[in-house]
Amino acid sequence: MERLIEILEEIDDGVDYENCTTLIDDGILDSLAIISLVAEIEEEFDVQIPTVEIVPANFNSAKAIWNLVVRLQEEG
Amino acid sequence: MKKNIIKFIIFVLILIFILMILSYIFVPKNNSKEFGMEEDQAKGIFGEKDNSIDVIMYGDSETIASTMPMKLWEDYGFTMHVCGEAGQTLPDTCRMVYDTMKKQHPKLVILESNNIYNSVNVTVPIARVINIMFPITEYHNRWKNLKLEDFYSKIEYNTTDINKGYYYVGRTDPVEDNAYMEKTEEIEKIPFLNKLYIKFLKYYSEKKGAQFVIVSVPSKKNWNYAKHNGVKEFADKEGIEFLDLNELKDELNIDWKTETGDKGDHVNYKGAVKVTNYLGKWLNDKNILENHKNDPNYEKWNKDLEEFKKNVKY
Amino acid sequence: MTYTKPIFLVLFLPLVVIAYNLIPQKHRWKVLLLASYAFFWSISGKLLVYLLVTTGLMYVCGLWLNKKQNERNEELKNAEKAQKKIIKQKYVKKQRVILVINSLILLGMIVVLKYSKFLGTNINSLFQIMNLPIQMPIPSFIMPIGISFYTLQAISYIIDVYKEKIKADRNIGRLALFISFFPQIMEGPICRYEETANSLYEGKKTTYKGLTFGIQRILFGLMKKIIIVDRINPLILEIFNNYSNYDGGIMAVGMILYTLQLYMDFSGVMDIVIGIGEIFGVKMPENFRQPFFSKTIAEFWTRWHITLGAWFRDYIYYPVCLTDKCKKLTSWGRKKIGNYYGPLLASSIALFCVWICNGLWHGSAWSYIFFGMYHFVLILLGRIIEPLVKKINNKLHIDNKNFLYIIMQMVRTTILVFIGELFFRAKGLKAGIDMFTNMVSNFSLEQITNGTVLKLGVDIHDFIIIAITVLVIFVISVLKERGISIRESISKKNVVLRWSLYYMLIIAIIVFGSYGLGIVPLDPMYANF
Repeated sequence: MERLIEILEEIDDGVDYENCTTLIDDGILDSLAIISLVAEIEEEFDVQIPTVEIVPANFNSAKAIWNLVVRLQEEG
Repeated sequence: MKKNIIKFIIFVLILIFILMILSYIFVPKNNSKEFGMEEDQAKGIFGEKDNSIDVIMYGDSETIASTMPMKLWEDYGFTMHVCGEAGQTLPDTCRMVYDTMKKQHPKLVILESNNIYNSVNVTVPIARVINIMFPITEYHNRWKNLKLEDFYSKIEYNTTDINKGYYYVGRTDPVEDNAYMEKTEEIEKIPFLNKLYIKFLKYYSEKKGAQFVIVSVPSKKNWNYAKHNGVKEFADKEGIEFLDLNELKDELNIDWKTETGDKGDHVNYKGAVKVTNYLGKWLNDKNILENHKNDPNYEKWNKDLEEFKKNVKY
Repeated sequence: MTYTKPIFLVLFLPLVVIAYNLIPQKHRWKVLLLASYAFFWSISGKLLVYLLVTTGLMYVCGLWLNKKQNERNEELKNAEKAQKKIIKQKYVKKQRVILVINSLILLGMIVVLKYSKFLGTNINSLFQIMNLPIQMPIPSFIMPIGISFYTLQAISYIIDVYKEKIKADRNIGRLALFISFFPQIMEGPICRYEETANSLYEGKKTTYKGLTFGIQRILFGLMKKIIIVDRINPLILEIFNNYSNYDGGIMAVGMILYTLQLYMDFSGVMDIVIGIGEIFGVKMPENFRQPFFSKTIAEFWTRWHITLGAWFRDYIYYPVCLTDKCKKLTSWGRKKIGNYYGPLLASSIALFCVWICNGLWHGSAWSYIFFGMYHFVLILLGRIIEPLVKKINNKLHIDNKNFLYIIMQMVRTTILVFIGELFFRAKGLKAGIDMFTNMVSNFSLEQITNGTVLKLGVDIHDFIIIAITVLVIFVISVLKERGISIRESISKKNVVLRWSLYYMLIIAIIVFGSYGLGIVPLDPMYANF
């Protein structure tokens, strides 16, 4: 999870990722940020994020993103 | 549930009430253009004395360009009015007949044949019925020029048309050759709804004590022998007299080089004189119309004739 | 038949609503399906066969994909961890074959029907330029109504099944209704399977609220169409058909009023269509969200024709950005040119694809491709200079939440949109360029002040009515932007106020509507795409 927060801060460091739960809804992460994020996460955590998973529910908070990563890792 | 239905009914009733008031305000209070009446030439008939018109001709623009009622008055003392309108379709003809025969009881009703082959969508008569029930839908565009009088005046039609519905076409726009109406066995079918409209016109005219006939005035562009056959077949079946001036081209001798203003679509004033002369003789031979020339009740017609001759040279 | 014709609103729709409510619930979807096919038939006749083929294709391919997915899951159950990836890849390949067959037929239909003339003409021009004596015959096809819309819906369904976002529908009736529902077939909104399929099939009874809210929304849309769209049309036709007679000021007038006309027409039809949905208890997605309050062009396309933008985002933009090649490009880019411009490389490629498709989707002509590229360039430019703008704002201490700054952004965006629509409407790319040059180099207020502008089919009274209606719609838009639901707040007021508002709406349509003898109403504009 810490590595994830580091990645997020590399993309945009002005955000409180520990507590924010409206990253998508408030437009804090825009489409460019999402592309960067997905590319980086896939490389870093060796997962494949299918496009159907790119929904607000999975990306609105660092915790949600992390849950997604963990789930994808378990599914193999 | 019941409450909602009652609410709905009350809503609709109030709406109808509002529409009726608006209709009253928007309806033209007199039958001339200044008062908002469209097609005021045909509607000049509403200003004529009751029961003074003996022949009425209905139809589309073919009627208004081709027939000069004032010349009939001059030659025979017959009182005719043209109640045709440009683009008049059969549903509109039915409506015009209905409106005009309230105060007039002509002896002869003539339908010009050109709009018989004009097919009309079934939504048109439905729209017309709505126009009649709620005139606001017909005259709503008058919002741009409503006058204070519209809010309280009564409806009174007293404007008349000096030309009695005739539309003067002075220009000449020739066609090269005079050939048309090649004989053929072909029959052009009349659209089904149109047959119903014509049957209604016959029924209604006869109910009001008029003879109903169909006349086809000369039009090189619009008429042909197949159409002639179609109307003749229908007219024979229904017992309607059909006079086709296109067929009588040798008698009428319309010269499409000089007697049309729009390349054979309609005759111009010179052609109109020929048509009117023929119609006059034909009407006279029927022996059903009176000569009103010396009737003091028709004095205004003589005055109108003087005006007419100033504006229309023939 | 179209949604704004009396025969639809006064005859067809009420009949369908009545039949729908009289029939028992489990058969109601059949009423809707029958009505939808009847509606389609009344416009396109035998071309209904294309819709049926598309439906059948979706049904078969959806089930086929599911079958492969189930087979894969069976194999995965019994496999060891090391094998799993290989099995998954094997089945991805199998599914891709199905997808390709499906796309070839689906896209094949629309490419032939819609684009063969454009392709043929351009290939022939190419031959001429290359001095080859060959000329391809140019076929001319009539497109079935709504093909541009229902094809996108079909593609979204199949891809969602492939991505296992939804399960394939075993019920061909439900699937058929999803794709053919008559309010959406002509101009959208482009719905997703999980948004409307089940809701349509459920057959919920029409409620009092659904009926009244629905009718209100229909009337509101009808008002936009009949008071503004049809009234302005003679002027738009005159300016765009005979633009060389007019000066730059009139070009600007035409440009602005056309954009207004397009917005009123499309959003008005959407009001009618979504209102119809409400009567049947189906919530259809919105297509407009006060688009002229957008601060950037990028934002504009999330507020104008929303379902189309969402479709391109979900089925072209993200999939392209997230292909392996693009992901590699993004990672490489981030290392070389930083965190902001790095991903912009892949994003630009994806955006380009989106905008080529967007332009072409609107029509098979160079002017539409130009339109797509125009917006592509604007969005890309916006992205590229964004960090620079942020820096400048910081240095000049401009607060980007400042009210005036936001107004400036909205005005700027609106002007850019106007220019795009000028090219969109002009009769061909050359005409668009001519009109634009005329407007910019020959700008003058003369034909406006000397009254020429009032002789183009719209007089001063008409302009006043248009202005008043636009003002009313503007006020409503501001309220909606603040999250206030107009119909909800009205329904809470007392009956006199409520009914007065309804009567005013109805009377406005009847008195100020542009209809009657001599008026030729405009067919819904987006139905031609």
